[in-house]
Amino acid sequence: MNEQTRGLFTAFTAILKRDLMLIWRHQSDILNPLVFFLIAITLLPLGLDPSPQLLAALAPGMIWIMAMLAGLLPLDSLFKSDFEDGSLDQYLLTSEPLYLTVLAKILAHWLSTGLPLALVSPLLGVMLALPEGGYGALVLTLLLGTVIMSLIGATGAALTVCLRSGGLVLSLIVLPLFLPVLIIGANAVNAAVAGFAISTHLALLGAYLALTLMIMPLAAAGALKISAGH
Amino acid sequence: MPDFKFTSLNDFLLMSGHGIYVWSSVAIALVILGALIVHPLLLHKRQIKQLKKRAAQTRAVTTNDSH
Amino acid sequence: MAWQWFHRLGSPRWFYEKTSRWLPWLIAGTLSVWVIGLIWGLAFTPMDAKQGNSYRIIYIHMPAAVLALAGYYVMAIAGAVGLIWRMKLPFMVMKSAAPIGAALTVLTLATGSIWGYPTWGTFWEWDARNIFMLILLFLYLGVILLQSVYPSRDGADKACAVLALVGTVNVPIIYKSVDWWYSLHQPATIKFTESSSIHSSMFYPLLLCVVAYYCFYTLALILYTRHEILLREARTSWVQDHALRS
Repeated sequence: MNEQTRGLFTAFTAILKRDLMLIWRHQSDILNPLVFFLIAITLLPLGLDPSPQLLAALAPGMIWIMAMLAGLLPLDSLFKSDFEDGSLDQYLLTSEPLYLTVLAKILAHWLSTGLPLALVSPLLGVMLALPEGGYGALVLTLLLGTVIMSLIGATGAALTVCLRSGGLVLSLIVLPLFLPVLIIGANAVNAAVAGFAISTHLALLGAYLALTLMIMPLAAAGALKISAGH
Repeated sequence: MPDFKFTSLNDFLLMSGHGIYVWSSVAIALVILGALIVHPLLLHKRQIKQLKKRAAQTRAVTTNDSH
Repeated sequence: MAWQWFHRLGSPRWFYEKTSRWLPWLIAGTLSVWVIGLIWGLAFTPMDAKQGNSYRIIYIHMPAAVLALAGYYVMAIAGAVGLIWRMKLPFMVMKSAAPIGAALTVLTLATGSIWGYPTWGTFWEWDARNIFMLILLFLYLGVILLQSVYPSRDGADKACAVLALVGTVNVPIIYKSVDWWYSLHQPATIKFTESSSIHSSMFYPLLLCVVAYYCFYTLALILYTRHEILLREARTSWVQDHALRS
């Protein structure tokens, strides 16, 4: 590792640590999406029918949709505080590439929202009588899928950070882009429940993750520059 | 050379029971495509009118100033 | 030298004055091609063996679908050109392309569901192409929404360009995933006639209709862009002169 890459790495970890620290101080930010996830899943049998057959049939899709919506909630705050307290302008001025800064922020955001969502999903699977074969697939696809959603969502968040009521606009522009992840993820869980292998689904999600990992931080960095102009 | 595939004009309008679907699609296309032409023309006309009004106002202001 | 035309193309004034001369020809051409293609398709092509006369909706529906998708790329490319070369005109084209594309997706969805009734017995079928058009409409609405809520015009242009480009990357992925999803859930009884197996007697009028829709798209895009030019360049002397002369 030469001097330059070490410098980049230090900057990356510094931003990651700072963001995780900030998130840790506002623990409600981590808990709110999880509580939303839990409540939304609780509403489901009450609104439909508590029979295990029906719930088991709906569980893979419903858990995925609810996780998607729960992941949408905290996106709005991803760049908000940086934009408001002027840290964003500092990031734009530093010599470190904005790509890495944005990537560090997205990683911190995913560690505090996507990861917990994926980890509590088996519990909700039990509540919705998800058949035994589906748990591994559910956690695996959610782990991959929430990273993709954080990456795509970050671009949306960067575009709407300078708007006063950006939250609604953010969800409307970002939701259609989540569609492929939802289709692949929910189908993988369904396939696993039916006893099929899900390596194809995981490979597709992995390829999509690689693509978004290349493009989305760049798009988000460009969007942040535009937003900082106001 | 393609020839007319219907026996009469009435037959053409009815299209053996499918006329309502075909002609309503044509009507929707005419409305939407027509709107896409008429709407910008109306906007354009309004903008020209506004520009004229603004020009007249500024001219009135400048002539008042010169007196 | 070689790039001179490119920079001239970026000048709103040059565009406005050139298109003033093109417009009558474009309108006449578009209308004649469309009328010929539509009458040929509706009256002079043989009936489809499976679907009867209702298949004739294809002459309205299919070109609209083609242009709705192509329009998204027009919008994204215009946005990219605006971002890269920092030109004013491409952003105006991009902003104009959004409502036209949205209207064309609505036309595609409306004629598609009318076609669906005699074919499938329902106005809305969760068919791969139906869903894709709906998602495309959402993508267009997102761009229109973002354009309307941004506080400054400059920011709105650039933000929409970024959103359109991100959407462009995702459009093929969305299409493929919806297609794949449909192949998993496809009911065995419903099968559309494949467009690749279309008979040549139906192909030529269809081609004419597609050409007509392309001309039409260009026409609408020019008209909306001209309005946008007058709006944004209202303070320049040539626009004020133009307004007084007309």
